[in-house]
Amino acid sequence: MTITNARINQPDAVPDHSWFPVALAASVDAGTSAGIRLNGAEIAVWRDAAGEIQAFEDRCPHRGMRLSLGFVRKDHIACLYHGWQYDKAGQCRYIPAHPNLEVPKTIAVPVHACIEWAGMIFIRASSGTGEPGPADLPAQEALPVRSLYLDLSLCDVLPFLRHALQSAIFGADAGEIHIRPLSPSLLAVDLGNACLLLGVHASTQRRTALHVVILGPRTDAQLALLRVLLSRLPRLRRLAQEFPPSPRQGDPPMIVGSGSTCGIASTVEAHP
Amino acid sequence: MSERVLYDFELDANCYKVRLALSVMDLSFRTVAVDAYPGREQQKAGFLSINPLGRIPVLVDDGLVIDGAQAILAHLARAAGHATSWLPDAGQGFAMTMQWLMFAQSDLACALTARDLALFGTGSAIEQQRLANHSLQAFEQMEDHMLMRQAVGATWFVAEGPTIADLALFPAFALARDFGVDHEEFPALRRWSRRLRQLKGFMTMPGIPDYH
Repeated sequence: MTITNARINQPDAVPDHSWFPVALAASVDAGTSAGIRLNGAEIAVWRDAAGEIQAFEDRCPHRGMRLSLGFVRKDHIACLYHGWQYDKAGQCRYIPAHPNLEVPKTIAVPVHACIEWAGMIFIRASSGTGEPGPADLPAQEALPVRSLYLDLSLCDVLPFLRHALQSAIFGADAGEIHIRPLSPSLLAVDLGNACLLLGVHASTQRRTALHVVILGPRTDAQLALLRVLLSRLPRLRRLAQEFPPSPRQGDPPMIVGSGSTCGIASTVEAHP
Repeated sequence: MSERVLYDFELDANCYKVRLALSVMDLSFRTVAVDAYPGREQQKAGFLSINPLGRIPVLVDDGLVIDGAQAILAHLARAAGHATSWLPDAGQGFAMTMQWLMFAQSDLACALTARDLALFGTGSAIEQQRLANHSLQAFEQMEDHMLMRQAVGATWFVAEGPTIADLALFPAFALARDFGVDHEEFPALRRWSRRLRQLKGFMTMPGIPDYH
């Protein structure tokens, strides 16, 4: 059997369009929290002491403080302001100023379903509790590279990468690289002897993150590629600021994505 | 008996930098509060006789007057003793510590100015945005560096252990939310900050959350 190089370490299945990559799994340590934005909506992503990932609306119902600034205690997250503690379902369980109070069920934080796959954290954008993740999605080995935030709108990401990735990162002699959308927010970059996966994440309307992993088992070649990517990926920041480039005479017109046709998911349900 | 006196303003990030260094190095000192805001005491005659440059922090150590956080940090590292590794003696460790100290002094100055404007000032929205953008670029340089360090298993900016470079870089990043720059985009710096918070003797200042 021959395996074509262009499809090396390809995933069998990927999370569907309802899941949004928001961070690298390695970026959130057990017992810590991180505030992220998804189309401007603030979300607290945190891991309990056992390492299980959670995603809450980033707002304590008490005084509106961001929960991501709070602290994790076992399987609860506590608000920095007054120590109100919430369990993994978002239900408030403890109010330090009223230690004997049985906390009313109405005091709860909206929760997002979340999963980890291919070294990334994905959340379902709609609020609600307990929606299960896709249990049948096979695990995908991946080596985390980095998250890179660029001054781009979501729709400009694919045209930008097709314009800049080869020349800025891999050079002309690396052979032609192919960028293929696998889902509305996942791009595969085929490098011949390796495959990158880019999770595309609209932090705000004008700021988009690429969460970059190398697919497949950890090898010396992968670690060498990791070092190359770490040193070169930052070049994309300045190029993104200059994108789209002003056309020179004789250049074919560059088509930049717009709204409905860009092929990358851009809709997040409004938060209640 | 020698005495260390820090001329200090609680809300100033560079004064905090020195308090933090004194605390983690476990050096004795006392502070003299300077009414920098709103009094601008550091520019009045009484204080100018101590520091003609009219600014804080100033450390007076056994009669020696030192102006500016970075120079004070280097001085304290030596006071803590050569057995400690706060300022590596020579070679790459010394060079890189100095490089990041200068970075903290120059490239991160915009972050502290942005914070001063946001807290006390009346700067224009355009000026605030410009300073925030410059700060973001400086943090990106720090993030890129720490990602490379992480890839080789290192946890601090320069050496195996923390140096005064880490102490000098920490306040501007930790206080970035005060001028509207969030920590979302800097996972490597988040991890580094958490490590720094775990140093024995770590202390906070207003604007830096106490728990994490």
